[in-house]
Amino acid sequence: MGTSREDISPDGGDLELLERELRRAMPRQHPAANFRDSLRGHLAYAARRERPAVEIARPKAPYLRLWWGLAALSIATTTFLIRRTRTAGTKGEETLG
Amino acid sequence: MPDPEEALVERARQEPAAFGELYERYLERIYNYTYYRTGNRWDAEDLTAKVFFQALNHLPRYKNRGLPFGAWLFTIAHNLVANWHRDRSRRKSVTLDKALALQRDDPFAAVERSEDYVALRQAIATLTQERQHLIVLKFVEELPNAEIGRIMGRSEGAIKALLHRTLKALRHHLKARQNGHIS
Repeated sequence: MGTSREDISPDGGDLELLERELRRAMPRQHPAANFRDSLRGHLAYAARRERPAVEIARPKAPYLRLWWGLAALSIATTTFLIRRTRTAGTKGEETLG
Repeated sequence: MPDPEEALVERARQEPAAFGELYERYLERIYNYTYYRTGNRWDAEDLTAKVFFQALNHLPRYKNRGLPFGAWLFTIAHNLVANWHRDRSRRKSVTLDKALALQRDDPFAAVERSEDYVALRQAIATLTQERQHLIVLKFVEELPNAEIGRIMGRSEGAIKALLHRTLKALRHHLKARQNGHIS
């Protein structure tokens, strides 16, 4: 190491020197090869496993429920009107009869 | 023309293989960050794994709003490291000195075990979490102030000022140690 601690912190010391010391004191580290490979494998597995779940969870055709609701309502209304018309017809016949 | 990294992130939402490319691109940087924030290889590996799993799980919700993907990863790493420090402070654990001593098996640590570097790292360990975050982003990751600002949610000027104050605090600590005020 070219610089001693005296150089780092003299009175009115040079902050640039301290910056250089910081860079030297913290050299780049390399993750161990087995860690790198193992994590890559775990992530790949998790990614493959997660994707179908995401697909299934995605909401399908958001307006589909609305259409089904409207269709059911329409059938119910039609049935109700037919029955009421028939009932009214029968009552009319009875009154006349 | 879209940023190539943005396109890669978009592809990673659909294809697992594309996430692998992002992993290769950022593994070393995230590992370095967690290594210098925890002081040991084992916790660094554990936290690095957590960062990538969290990123994978939250990828569908990630939106590039001026924060590049790498900066987003550093934010996740910072939050996880902060939780790690909080949990560690609750239970008795190894100090940075002991952690450095434990590194003897690490071949990469051979170069860095001089007394001065240990003193410097001990001085860094006395800084607040925010300042340690800044030191690692600046001197290990060598990111420009503007990008550090985006990660830390501050302006470039604020980062510059914080860096200056941090360096002065470090220098003050080293001087006090040298004069025997700190053992």
